[in-house]
Amino acid sequence: MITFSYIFVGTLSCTLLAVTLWFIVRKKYRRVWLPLLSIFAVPSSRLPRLRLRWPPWLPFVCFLCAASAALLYALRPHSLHPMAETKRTLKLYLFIDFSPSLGAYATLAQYRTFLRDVYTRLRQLGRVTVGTSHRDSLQQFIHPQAFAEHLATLAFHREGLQLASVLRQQSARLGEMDRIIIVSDRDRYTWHNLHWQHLTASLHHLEVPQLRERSDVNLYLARLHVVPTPHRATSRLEVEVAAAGVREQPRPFTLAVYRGQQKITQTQASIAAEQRRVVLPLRLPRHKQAQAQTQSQSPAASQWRVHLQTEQADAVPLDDELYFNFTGSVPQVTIIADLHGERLLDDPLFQLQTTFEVLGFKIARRDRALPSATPSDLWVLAFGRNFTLPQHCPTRPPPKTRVWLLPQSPHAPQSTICRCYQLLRGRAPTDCNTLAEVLTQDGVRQDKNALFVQRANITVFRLPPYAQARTGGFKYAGVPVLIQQLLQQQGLLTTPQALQQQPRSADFFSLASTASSASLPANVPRGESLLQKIARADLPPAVRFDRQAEQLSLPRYRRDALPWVQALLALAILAALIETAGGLLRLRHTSHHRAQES
Amino acid sequence: MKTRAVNTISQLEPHTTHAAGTHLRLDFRRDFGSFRQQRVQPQRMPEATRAYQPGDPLRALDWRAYARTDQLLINQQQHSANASVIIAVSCTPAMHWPPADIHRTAVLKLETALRLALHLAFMHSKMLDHVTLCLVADELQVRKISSATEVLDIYENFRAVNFIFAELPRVCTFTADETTLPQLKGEAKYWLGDALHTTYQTFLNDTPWSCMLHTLSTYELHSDWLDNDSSYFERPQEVRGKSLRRIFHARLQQWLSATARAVEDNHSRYLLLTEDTAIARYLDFLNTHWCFVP
Repeated sequence: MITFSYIFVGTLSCTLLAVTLWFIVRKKYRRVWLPLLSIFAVPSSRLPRLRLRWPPWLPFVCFLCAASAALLYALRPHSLHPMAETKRTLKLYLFIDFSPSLGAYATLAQYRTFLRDVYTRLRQLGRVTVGTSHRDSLQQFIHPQAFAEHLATLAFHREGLQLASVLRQQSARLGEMDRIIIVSDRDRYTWHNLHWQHLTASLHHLEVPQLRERSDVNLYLARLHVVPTPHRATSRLEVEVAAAGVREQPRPFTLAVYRGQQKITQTQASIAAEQRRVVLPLRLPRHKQAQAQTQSQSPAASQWRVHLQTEQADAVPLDDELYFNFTGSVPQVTIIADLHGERLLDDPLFQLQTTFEVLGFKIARRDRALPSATPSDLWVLAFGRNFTLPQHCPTRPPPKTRVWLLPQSPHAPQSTICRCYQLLRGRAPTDCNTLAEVLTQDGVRQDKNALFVQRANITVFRLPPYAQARTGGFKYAGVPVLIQQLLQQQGLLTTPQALQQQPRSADFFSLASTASSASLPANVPRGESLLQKIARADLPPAVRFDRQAEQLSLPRYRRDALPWVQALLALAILAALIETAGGLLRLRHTSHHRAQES
Repeated sequence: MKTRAVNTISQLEPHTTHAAGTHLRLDFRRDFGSFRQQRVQPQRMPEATRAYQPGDPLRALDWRAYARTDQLLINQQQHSANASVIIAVSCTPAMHWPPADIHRTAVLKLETALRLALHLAFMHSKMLDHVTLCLVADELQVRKISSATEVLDIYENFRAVNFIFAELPRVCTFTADETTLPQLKGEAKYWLGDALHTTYQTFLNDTPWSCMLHTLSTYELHSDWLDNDSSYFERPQEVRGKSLRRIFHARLQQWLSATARAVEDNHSRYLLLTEDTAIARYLDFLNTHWCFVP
């Protein structure tokens, strides 16, 4: 921020530098080469390069006047005039922080009472515009009761708050405000990157006092990780519980996993006094997951969450709950195909297998179908030249298992595919010439350009998806995307849109206006749970209730620099006139002198 | 503003034979060259007459005069011949003075010297002498003049580049000569330069007829232009104008006198010239000392 001291020191330095350069230039000798000196017997003495010489007085006086004026105006000269009799309404902007860290200072009811008191006091000083960290709407209230009713609809939100980004977004809509008062705590995460010293608006900080019982320890859920397990009967989670603050004794806690209101599992643990974090494994039985899924109807009610319950008081209550997406076990795919080799060019299904790996599938590859049906979400039957019905085509796939029939090459026997299709449909594998006839009998509409057709759980590919990508009219690199979209369409893969529905805490404020579209609640950012406070010296000037009126009121006197500016202008014009007159006189004198010489 | 007379050396051209506004003309007409032989032969066709001295041939007696005046007189005649004339011009850096910051229209000493040299070369060519023009700088550059027309051609070329030495090779061909200056032999030698170096002394020694045209700038002969607040330097010396003005004239006269005395002690002719010297004075000097007979 450019302060008075910077301007004064800068102007003084420039003035001194200009005066110094002036004298240096004036002190320089004119050196003329005279060869005749080589035969003169003159004592050799090297003269100093500089000499002191009085400058031409007229321009120098003008320069000194200008430099003095600049120096004088660097001091911001002004006259104080009493303000006009008409009182201007003070424009106040009250920004209320509802971030999770506020929960360490007050309960919601206590915080509302505190805010009502603040609002009432500020109304006596001017017109108050209220904004909260919930949404970026600015509101003005006619009566304090309206403000209280508005407060009743608000609560601490799980998303964190970063004042720098919020004020930047609000600055365009805020208009001109006399004072901005931020009601908040001293949480470092909230105030991080807010360089309030450079703001043109007058910023004040109203710190929320400690209204609730003080707790210096905060246990929070720091991280959750879904561990892939080979057992389909159980899913496994790893939950990291961290502690902030000073502890002298171990802190016991209970960790429970919910889906909606249904408790899936629960465990008890403790974090030692010297421990910063502890990682707990949690097992989710499959049958309980299925049971919870049948009971939950809406997406919100089927939301997975981990809840942390402490026996002793916890500083920030909101971070004791962590929401997460969980789709159950890892999907499994069984590929039945002839083995041609392990290398990329040898195996026509290598690319397809890699696609499944990338998409998170667990892959089981066999060269023939087992008599007992293997539990799997998807079967991929790749038809080659050696493909035979009894060995490769399963007679009875498990229920709800999707089956893909695809040729390994364009020359794969269509009759074999057709007979396998009939077998999977529960019919006798009679002779059939073309698959198209059978599909037509099943009522499947076929398109010549279609890559695959679907009937019930069976998907029949007309061409091998990778080996003949160009024949199918799509790019080779588009095949993984195609497979992904097909898996999503068939419900075997979670759609990425579902993952994006959970808002991120960092850009919560920009999302707040569309928060209703987000079906999943956000998680508390870790910075809100660390209980780290910023020093009061680094905060804007604090507003105290006893001196509030004096601090926030408008000044009684108006600073008027216009007479000083007019004086400077007159001085500049006078200096210019004197300099011009002096120049003309010098010119005339020089011309007269030259005329005399000639 | 200082004005310059129209009949000064700064307007001298090779074919100038008389000074404007005067009746002075340059007498350079010779039948066989400017060099007059020392051997004087008594002739029937007298050019000069002197008294008889014992040993003179009797057939040289002017018997008609003896009959009229009763005095023994001898008729004698002195023949002229081609002479080898060497004209050397000093082209040291000091000859490129004064610079433009002293006066915008100042004439370089080199221009004055070259004008004089070309004038001498033209006249001697007219007198059927063998003329060699030398430019003396770090190395010796020589050009033998074959005719007076060639001198006029050189003059036009020099004038096209304003007599700037660095530009001369571009417009005029001079041959670098490995011989040293004293090794150039001739019956007559001219040295044109500012005499700030003593090279001229070895050049003029042991020559039957030699002449030094001391070429200086007008600004070197007076101190009116010196500024008290400026400093004047020639390595390693540097003097403030205020101090220099006090000693300038005395030191200058002392040096000029010493230079003239040294030249004349060597049986050479000496003339101090500047760009403002009147042409009449220069021509008068030539008419006086044109005969090469010592």
